[in-house]
Amino acid sequence: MAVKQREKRVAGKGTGEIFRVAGPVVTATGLRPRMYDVQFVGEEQLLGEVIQIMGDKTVIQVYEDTSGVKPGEAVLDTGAPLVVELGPGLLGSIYDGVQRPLPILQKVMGDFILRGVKSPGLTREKSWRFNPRVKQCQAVAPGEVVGTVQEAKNVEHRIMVPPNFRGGKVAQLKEGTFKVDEVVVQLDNGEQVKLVQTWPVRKARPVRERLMPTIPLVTGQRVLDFLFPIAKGGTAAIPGGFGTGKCVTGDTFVHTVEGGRHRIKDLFTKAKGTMTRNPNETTIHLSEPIEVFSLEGQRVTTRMATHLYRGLTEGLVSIRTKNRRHLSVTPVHKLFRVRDRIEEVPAILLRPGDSIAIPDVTEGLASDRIVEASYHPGASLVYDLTVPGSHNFLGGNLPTFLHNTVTEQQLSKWCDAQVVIYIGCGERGNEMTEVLSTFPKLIDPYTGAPLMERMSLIANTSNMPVAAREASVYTGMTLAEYYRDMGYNVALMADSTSRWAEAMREISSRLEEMPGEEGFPAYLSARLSEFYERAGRAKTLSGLEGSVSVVGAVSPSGGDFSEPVTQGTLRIVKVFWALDTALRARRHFPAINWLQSYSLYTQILEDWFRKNVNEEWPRLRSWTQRTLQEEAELEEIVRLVGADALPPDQQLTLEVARMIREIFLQQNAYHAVDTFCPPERQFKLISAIKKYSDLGQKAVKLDVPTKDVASLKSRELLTRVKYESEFDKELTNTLTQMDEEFKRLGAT
Amino acid sequence: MPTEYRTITEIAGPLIFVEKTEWVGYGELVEVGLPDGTRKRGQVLDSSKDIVVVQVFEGTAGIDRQSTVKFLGETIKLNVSRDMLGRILSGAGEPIDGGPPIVPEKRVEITGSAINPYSREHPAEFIQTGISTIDGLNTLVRGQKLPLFSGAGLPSPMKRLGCSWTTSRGPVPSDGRSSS
Repeated sequence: MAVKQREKRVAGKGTGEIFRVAGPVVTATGLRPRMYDVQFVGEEQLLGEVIQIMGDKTVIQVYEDTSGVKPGEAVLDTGAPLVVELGPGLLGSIYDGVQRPLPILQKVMGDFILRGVKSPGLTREKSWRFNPRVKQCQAVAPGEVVGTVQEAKNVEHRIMVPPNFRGGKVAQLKEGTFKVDEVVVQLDNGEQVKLVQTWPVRKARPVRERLMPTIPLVTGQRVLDFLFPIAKGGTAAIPGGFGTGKCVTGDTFVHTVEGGRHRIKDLFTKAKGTMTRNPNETTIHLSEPIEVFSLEGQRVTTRMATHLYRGLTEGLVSIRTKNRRHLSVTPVHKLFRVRDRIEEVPAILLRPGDSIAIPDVTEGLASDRIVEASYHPGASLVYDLTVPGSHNFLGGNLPTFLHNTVTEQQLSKWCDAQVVIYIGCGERGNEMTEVLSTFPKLIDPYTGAPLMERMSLIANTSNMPVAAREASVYTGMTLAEYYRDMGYNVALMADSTSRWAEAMREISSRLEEMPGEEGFPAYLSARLSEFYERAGRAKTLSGLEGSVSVVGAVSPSGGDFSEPVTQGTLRIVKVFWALDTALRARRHFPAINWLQSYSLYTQILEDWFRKNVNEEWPRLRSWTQRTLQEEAELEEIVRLVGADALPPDQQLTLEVARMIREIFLQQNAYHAVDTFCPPERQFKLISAIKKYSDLGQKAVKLDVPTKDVASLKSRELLTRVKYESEFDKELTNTLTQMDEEFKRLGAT
Repeated sequence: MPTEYRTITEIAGPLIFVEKTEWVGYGELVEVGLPDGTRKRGQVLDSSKDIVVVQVFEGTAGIDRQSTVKFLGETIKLNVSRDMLGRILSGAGEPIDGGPPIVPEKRVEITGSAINPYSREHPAEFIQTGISTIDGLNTLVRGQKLPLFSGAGLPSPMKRLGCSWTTSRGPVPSDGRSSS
């Protein structure tokens, strides 16, 4: 059926003529296309899509700038909708809104995006090793997995029969290395399965069955997981954007090719080049790059270091080895641990007895056993060398690494999704650059591999053609669904859906459609829900379970949440994380307002948390929220009469709420331990606060002054326990001390 | 020599509607000739086989249906040259300081292409303005968009800032490009 239909369409291909040009909206005559089929417009063959058909006139939205395009020029109907290529190689790629790889565009046309350049989404040059999973003559249905390709170190790419195939018996099966457009499985009905398949972006990929979103997407961020959890396959909105931030101590030696060892801080003071200073950070773009040794795979090579960096850290991990090597690095800094193979491990996780790889100029690749590893808190200066390409340099052998601040990056980094798709949609160019330059350097905390290996970025900045922006969210969603169909949990971040809605508004007004609220088209909320509804947890055609979770950023102009895009979004999404500028100003991070935010998944996810973390989870959660709400109410009174006028039990409530805020909700993204807090630890931490609260209330009833309860040593200790790598031990100590202290106060 | 049309059918606000033209490119530059000899410039906003909509830059005052319309066959381009430094130009890029015309080194479209986000570098260079409240609290960065807001009755912030800015940047590098 499908094949026959396609043949007819091919016959229906044709050419027409431009009748009218108005910005990105072009009207053509003489075509007989279907809605949303791709057209090539004008002499430069600009990519466009049919968005309206009126008699003989076809309205096309063009994804590129139309300046100079004239009526009378030809339009070519491709007879096919806008599709993306799906196959190995998607991960780690950076695309524009219509899946043109930006690095390739840069190669073809330089630093500016010109018109009419076409490029396939997946490279045809790279070969992949295909391992079949099916046997000769085995019947395969659409969507079924026929084999696998190791796409990245930790992502197995499952090659599936495209869902629009009919399926049949395997007639011919190949094994070996193939390029994406080579046939690997031939079915008896003539259908050919390649490593690459295409899918129209505006159409949701089919699933066998939708499942309830009953599993949380664990993010390791306490305020999110505990108070406002999102389910795998859920949708969330977050207003606003993001920011970034950044290593070895100054005495670390760097081996340079010419001239042996230098202390990195000496290199820094002697370096020549343009210096960039930020508060707490200095970067020197070296005018004379330093040649250093670098580890590439198992080989030591030489590379040029282009930048030197100096910044501040809050603590250092100090490592001593058997052969008297001594390293001081930031806790999250990766070192190479030798077990069965060489793997990158954050320094904080290294234990005495582990062996680390020490590539040495004289010894080649050697390993050395750690005899001592310890964490020393305290601010100190750290340095870094940027080595493009291999991202590590030889000294103590320290790969460069970057760390980050705000929620979205924290989410992409820590959420337990196997694949992350990030759509930068209509964001400012400089912000996109920040993403493009920092994400590739982030290290995946779960696997130790670069985070980019399980990410795909789609970048469409605010000055890139508006119609392509409209398409970019669909492109991203289709990639996400494709990985879901392999049975993966995918997280999709769209930043920002407001810019996407603005693109829709621009197209709509060119079409002279009746404007709705604030000029947005009347179908705005329908489009928004169409997009968010493609999220979900599902049983795929091949019987696997996968999910697409969507986190959409909205950036309402002037912080006005009553504008149509925010309202339309809030109607659909089930989680709202309200970023609060007041909290940000108070240096409360993550700056998520606990009174405005909400999650409608708490009920559904209760069972999971009860079963997998603790029976008490829901009860503690509501206690926490109640306390925070009470605090807000009490603060009104405090503002009028002062805290001293409150009865002691209420004074204690204020104190407990403060602890919840400062100990539990605040989380330091820069801290090696605190940056990720697993649910078990979250629960233990909040239980400790609850225990303090219960004992404190008892004590207060026995007329113990509130300030005595508040000044207990164990309360002080509790504020630090979240930074301890030996969390459980420290917490038990603190709790024991708490018991003793309250016993002394007479309340047990 | 492009054809002159006398087929204006409608004039409304800054827009004129021209009929029965040859096929005109979107965004093309237009020259409107008034009966009294004045020439005005405009740009094509909407081009179709039936009618072309032109936005006139200097306003439509004085244009009648007898005025001529000439399509120049290209989008708005500007002659650029290093000698433009130190000159005073009109909004259309013509010198208005009484000096000689600018000898172009290059003709460039005024609507530049989008930068490939992959090619961009992250802006991180500080712009020193010498104004302590800006440098200290709200630091400016090269390559960043820098909006300035002024209210009614306040002096224009541009003059002061423009001056301190230029002095802080130093001379233009010899390849004629500046970093911001």
